[in-house]
Amino acid sequence: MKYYNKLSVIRHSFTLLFFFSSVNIMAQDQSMVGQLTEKEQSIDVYFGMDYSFSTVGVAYKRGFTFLNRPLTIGTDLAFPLITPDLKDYRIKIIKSQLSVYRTKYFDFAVTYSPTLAGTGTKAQRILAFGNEFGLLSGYWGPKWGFGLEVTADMKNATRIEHTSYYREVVYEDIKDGWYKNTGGNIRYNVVVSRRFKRLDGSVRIGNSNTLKFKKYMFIPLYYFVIGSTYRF
Amino acid sequence: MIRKSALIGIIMCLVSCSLMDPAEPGNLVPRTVDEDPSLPSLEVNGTNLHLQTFGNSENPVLIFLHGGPGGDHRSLLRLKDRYNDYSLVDEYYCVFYDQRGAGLSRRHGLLEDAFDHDVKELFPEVYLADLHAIVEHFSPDDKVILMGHSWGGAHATYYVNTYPEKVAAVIVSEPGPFHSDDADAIPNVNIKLFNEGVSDAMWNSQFISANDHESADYNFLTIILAMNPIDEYHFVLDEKESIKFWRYGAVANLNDLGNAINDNGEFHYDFTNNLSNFTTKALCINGSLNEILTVEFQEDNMARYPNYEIRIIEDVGHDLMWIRADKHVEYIKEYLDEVL
Repeated sequence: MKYYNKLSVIRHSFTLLFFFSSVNIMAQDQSMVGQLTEKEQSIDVYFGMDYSFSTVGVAYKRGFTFLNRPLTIGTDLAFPLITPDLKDYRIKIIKSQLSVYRTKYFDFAVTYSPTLAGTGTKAQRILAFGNEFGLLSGYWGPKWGFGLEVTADMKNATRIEHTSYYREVVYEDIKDGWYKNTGGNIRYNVVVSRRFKRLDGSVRIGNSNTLKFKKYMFIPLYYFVIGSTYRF
Repeated sequence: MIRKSALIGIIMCLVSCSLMDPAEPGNLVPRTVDEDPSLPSLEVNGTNLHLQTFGNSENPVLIFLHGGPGGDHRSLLRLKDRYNDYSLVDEYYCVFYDQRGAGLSRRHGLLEDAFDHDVKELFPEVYLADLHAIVEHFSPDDKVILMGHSWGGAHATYYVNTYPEKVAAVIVSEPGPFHSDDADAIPNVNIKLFNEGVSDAMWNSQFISANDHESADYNFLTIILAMNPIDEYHFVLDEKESIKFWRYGAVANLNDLGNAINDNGEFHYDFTNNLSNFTTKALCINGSLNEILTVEFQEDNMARYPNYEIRIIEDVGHDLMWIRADKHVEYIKEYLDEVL
């Protein structure tokens, strides 16, 4: 009935909040938009609505050259800021970005990261190993940059353990253990970046679905992240 | 090099093969009656329902209707138990079932259609036809007694409205609105956006995708449990008193009242246009704490019955029929002794 289904107001609430908060937000990872040059390093911080109402993350990256192409490799940690605890996290273990085609201001890059993520709720504890693939293409000028990005992540091996509460209240014989291909998401977003000397700023706004292009239950489809990158 | 690759391939294959399938019934969600023939069931109206009976089949038939849509009858089973040396099973033939698409009954429809309230197999008139088939199956010649909680209360009223001649008495426990005009008057549930449960629910969406009924049902209940602190509605003051389910039907719940919801998400239905033909007193039981389905709301809701009584149970919210099943049984007994 409606009073119960009104839980779906959460979707609308998130949508509204997303727009209202967009004025003063900052940050997502992949600062990059621009590749790092060889031996250049960076620290990224980012914040936004990204699988949580307020995800915060930090990343370290370093530039290399691979097959005469710019390659950036780093690592990235994110977690939800609301009541942060050690149960909820996402790590892009080796986050890499390789420029496949590049002109002075145009870049087409592929990205890849093996991922490790975890969560803990009243019902279960989850640990998931996965992979994230992406394409990032755009114009990256001396000051402003604009790009499009598509990423697909999949959880290939997920360990799920359920709480005694869940077993008691719902399903006593539920099977704890490792599960294959429990889920995945495809995300597509625009990226806008602005360069200042050693500091870059970027904003990503996009839409997220499951890998089968299905909507989520109860939660918003949008994500929005702002980030800043300090290069050194 | 080739040996190394082959070895890695074999290891990956072994690892992959040993992982469980989240869509396999029985792993993350219990099997339905279609997957486990040992479960008690009844085939009616083109579906297969998880159904249990208790008591002597010679006694008057009392049919229980759970909430949701999408809930299941585990949440009502305490009502068959014995309190103060009395059980409803002593006097009535109690029939509990999971509505189609819910609990351990057969699944229908697709999640993407449910978002648009367009799963035709789960429209209200189909639920009604299922119930009528059950009534005809268990009590073809005599009237039945209906007891419904939440959506089940509205469902019971829908049946009374359509088949008043088949109903001897009706009990509704914190029922949903019987008319869409009243549905729009219900205040929104206050979701606390900065609550850890909401954050957990969002973060959780990275891990398990609702691509089939199994993962959708699993996701649904874990998300609901994560977000549970809807205090002004459920008021589960003691976690040990948490209501129990077997398996929530995600598609059934999201589809909600189906074709009774228009494209703007507004309800348009009337389960009351023939209630004047049901003159027996109806009983409503409500908790004192619920701030959504309040006693005041039920005064208006029940006023659509020609004759009704409301009884209040103190210090409980929407899970009243679970937490205070004893009080329910007491009130139901007193009511049925009076009207039958």
